Amino acid sequence: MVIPAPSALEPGQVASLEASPDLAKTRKKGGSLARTRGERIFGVFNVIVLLLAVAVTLYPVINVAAQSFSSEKYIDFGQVFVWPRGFNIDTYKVVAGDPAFWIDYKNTVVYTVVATAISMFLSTIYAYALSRKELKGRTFFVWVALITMFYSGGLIPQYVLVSGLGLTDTIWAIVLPNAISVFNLLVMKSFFENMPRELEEAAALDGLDTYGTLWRVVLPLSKAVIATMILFYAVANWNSWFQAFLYLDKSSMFPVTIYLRNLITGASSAQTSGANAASDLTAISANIKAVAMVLTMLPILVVYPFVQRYFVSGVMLGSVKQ
Amino acid sequence: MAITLSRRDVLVMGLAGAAAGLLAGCSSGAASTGDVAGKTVGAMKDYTAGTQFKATKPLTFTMLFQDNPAYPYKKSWEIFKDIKKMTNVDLDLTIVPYDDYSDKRALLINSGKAPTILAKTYPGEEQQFVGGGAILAVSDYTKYMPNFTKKVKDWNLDADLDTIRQADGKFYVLPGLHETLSPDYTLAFRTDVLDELGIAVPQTWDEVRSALEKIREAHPSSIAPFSDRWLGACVLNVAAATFGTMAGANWGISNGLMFDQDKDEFYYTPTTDQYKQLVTYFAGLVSDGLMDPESFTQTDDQAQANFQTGKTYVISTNAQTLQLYRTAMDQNIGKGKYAIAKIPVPAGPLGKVLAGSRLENGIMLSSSAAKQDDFEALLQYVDWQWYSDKAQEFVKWGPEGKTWEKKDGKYQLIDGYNLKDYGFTTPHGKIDIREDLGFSCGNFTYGGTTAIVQSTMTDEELAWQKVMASYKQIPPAPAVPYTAAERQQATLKQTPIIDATNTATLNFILGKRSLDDWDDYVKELNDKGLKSYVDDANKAYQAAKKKA
Repeated sequence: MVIPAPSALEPGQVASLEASPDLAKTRKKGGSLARTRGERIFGVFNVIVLLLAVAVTLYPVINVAAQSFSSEKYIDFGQVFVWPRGFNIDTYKVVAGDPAFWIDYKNTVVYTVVATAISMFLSTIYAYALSRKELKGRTFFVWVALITMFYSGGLIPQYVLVSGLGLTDTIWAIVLPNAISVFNLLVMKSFFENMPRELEEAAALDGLDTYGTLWRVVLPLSKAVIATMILFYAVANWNSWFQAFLYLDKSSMFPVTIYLRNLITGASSAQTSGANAASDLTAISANIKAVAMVLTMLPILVVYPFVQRYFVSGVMLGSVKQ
Repeated sequence: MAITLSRRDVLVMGLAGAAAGLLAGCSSGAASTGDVAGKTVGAMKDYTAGTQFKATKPLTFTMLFQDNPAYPYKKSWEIFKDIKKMTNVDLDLTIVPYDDYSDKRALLINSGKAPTILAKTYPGEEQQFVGGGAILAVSDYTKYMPNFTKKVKDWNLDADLDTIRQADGKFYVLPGLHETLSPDYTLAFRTDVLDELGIAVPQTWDEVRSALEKIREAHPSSIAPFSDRWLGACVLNVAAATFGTMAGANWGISNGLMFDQDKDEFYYTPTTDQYKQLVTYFAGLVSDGLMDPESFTQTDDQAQANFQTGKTYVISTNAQTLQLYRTAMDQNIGKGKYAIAKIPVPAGPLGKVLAGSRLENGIMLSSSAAKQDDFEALLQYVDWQWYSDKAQEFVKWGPEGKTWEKKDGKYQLIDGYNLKDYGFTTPHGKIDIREDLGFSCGNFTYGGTTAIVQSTMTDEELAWQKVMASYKQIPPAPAVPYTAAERQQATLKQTPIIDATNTATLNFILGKRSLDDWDDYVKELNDKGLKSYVDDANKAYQAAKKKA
């Protein structure tokens, strides 16, 4: 994974989602005074573990951010931790002044938006269809998706396919091959399955057909899962570089992750050529790497808080009386 | 991860495609006749060594291009415009990020979609593709490459070329050719500290050891005076030649096989006394606190930071990294407050010897090229671009009279241009001929005459080269002439043997394993099939000898 920050936040996110309802339940049951000693120890333990998780995921992000504002000298001496030393923004000017960086940045934005839109469209209609128990051949269609989690065609056949379809060096090579993530699909499917059937029956009584029901009733009630899925897809697309590395030949089409990867790994690899090769080694200073990382993770980091408000359960509480 | 509905189709089509690619590859490999009849579109009739190649009609060749982040590819680079002007050839490039180059190259070749020209291929890297037939047996066609053949003859490179011949007696990579061996890697010392302590520049590995002892005595610290980069493999590789062996994971250990001229057979060098002697030497450095055990595991960044902040006094280097250390140390320690230099490669039990090949990384051609109707022109272009003196001068320095001129037999940039990475500047040098114009870049610049190779060296480096020129050169070992099937077998056996060797070497050096265990180590390798691995190599060698 190229950018540690956003993806690294996911485990924390999920953990806090799971943990908080539990805590709430405990409180409701007995009130804070009535909590048993075991429960209190468990609560303290929980908090400590989660704080550790936060520290472990947050420190690298802060450290990179601090490095990006520091001067090379202090990074070399290993003196930059959470606060910049030898403050400078010249490095930002250098990276921002590289047109290739912005071209790649634009590509990433376009790929992420288009790929996420396509993924969401395909995943939603697939998951909704699979969630209908009356669907004929449902098991078959579930397995069609599931089997790709266990078996893949292999790298070279995939490349031959994509290039045979004439997709190489186009945006479609990036946005189509991995359009549906089976994990995301299954999450959506079970979300739709848990939606009260009575709502749809009511919609049908009011004269809506299948598509109307999906569009006007089911989707508006599924904001939580949709927001989550958009986030998952968007982060994955934003971070992805392998597809681009495989299928793109023109540097003007590269996403910014390739730019970043080239900067970071290219600089640290040595030629394994024996004693006499003319060296073609490279060195990119640590703060340039840091700046590129910060600029690359910034947008996706900024999106998180806005999406987070959809991470709430209970949108449908009270919609049906059973 | 998830192409869903069409996944079975993917599988079937993928397999069919791979099979088709393989078959196509095989047939073209078999059809390699060394003849270009009927494929002469754009070719020059009277092309000879020294002639400026210019295609008789505009041609386009596809090429795989390794993009270096230190001088990222720009479409606008002048070098491509000049090439077009001089040769009438357009290069249609596939740009590949630096570190992923070999992966993408393998992918493209194995899927039958490789561009015609595959740049930056080290001799040895072509072996994995030989069996598949997708790579041209280019030795069949060198007769159309007058500059190449002339250099091989003038510089006496036949023995070197023999090292890259496969079992069929052909070679599949066109290597960069050097007129003279130019070593680059050795140790860098803090020479100011040596002076301060009155220590002469170490000439042997024993003197390196005693210098390290004195430095540690004078500057005691928690970290040993020698903390190395490149996972310690570079220094092992450099030292190995002087001990009469090969070492260094992914650097010098290669297939572990050396050739005994007297017995006329291959033997596995990491089980020899020479190798043991080498390992014992470095184990001694580590156990006595002279060499940082982290040397073998830490990142290059960490090792560099130690050296560049004055915490350590010795590190592996080449000419270019030496400049990079200086840039950082000027900032960290202050200009004039330190001095560093490459020391001559220290002499070992064999004395002052140097191993290495005069072949450098070069290019492969796809076998599909032989079917193009401009095949002869391609050969002529490749010959001119990579092997003519004129082109080698041009790719390194740019067009003569525009970016550079010759003064007193030396290449000098014209005012307005610079070549920062090699330390060349002019008073108004705003345009970097590497970053801004694309010259002196790794995809075009390989080998050449001593004058061209040394033209980008600093005076300091030239002096070092002069010292190294007095060293005795060990002739390159011949390649094991495996057939494709034998090679596959050999690779299967080689991988676990080399892995076990590298692991044991590391454990011996770090002191995690006692050197008294040496016999057990040899036995372990034997259990992994060492004997049959070596026997197979000698069988292949005898078979090839009989054929010839």
